[in-house]
Amino acid sequence: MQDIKNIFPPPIPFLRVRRNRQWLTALSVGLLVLSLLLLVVKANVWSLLLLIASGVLGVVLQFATRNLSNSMDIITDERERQLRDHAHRIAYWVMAGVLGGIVGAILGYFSTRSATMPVLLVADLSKLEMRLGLAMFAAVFLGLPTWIIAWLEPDSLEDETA
Amino acid sequence: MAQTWQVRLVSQKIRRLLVLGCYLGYVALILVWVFVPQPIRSPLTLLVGLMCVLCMGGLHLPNLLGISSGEDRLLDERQQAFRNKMYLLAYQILGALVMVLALYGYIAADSKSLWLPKSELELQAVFWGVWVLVTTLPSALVAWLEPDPLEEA
Repeated sequence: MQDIKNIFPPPIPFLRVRRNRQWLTALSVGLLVLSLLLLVVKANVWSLLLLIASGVLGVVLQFATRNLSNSMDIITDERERQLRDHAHRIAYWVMAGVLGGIVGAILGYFSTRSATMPVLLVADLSKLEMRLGLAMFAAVFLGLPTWIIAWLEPDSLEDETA
Repeated sequence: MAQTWQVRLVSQKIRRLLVLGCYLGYVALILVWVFVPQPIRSPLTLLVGLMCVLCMGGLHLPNLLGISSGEDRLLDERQQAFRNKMYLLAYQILGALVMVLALYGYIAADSKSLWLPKSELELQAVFWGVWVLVTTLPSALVAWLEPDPLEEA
């Protein structure tokens, strides 16, 4: 089978350099965190715009990593499969921590207030906050393996462009 | 130099029993807590909870079947690849599950008829359910899907 990665490295030279991809990853994560902080303070249009900007950078990184995080086994070589699965291994425990933190925070929030709670936390949130929260989770879930791959994958070799 | 050795798994039947024991044990724990009256609730809860915890422990033993948490040096190349592949699957399952539950929460917050955890006890149940699932899912997938090792001649 032909090695697709070697035939099609990222066409934009800027994206072939690992350090550049790492900067883009950090920027994408930073924008998402900023969006989350704005959401916590008060959901507004800036929160949404930052989320969209983070998503756009995520798409660029997806392009830079040749959509490796979603590639099927049949179109990847052994090294790529290894990198993809390793990225998901890291992503799994990151997501586990995020999930545990969210559920633990909700539990802690109510435990410290009263033994009987009238409504769950989500009922206190506005529609916009809930929608943004869901979109944010989806963005993290979809983007995390790509961020990790973009961060870990070494520079493309020069002879790969041949 | 670090000693390397292959992790030899127990039979698939035992592994699957442990997986079922872990997850069904958790469901049984909730059912006992909700439906069984008080005089026998406590000992029964203790018994079912112990079964659940023991099965969970089994899923985490590196030299039994918990290769998902095993160190790389304890695993051969194929086991490492299989373990990482199971993490990919676990990530997809977990993400899909959370998205579905989040959407349910979103809809249920509007609807008065759909269930949402309201008491602290119900939230505790959700918290421990998430904890059990998240910490055991990759091991459970490895335990469930990895075929029996071939008999040595």
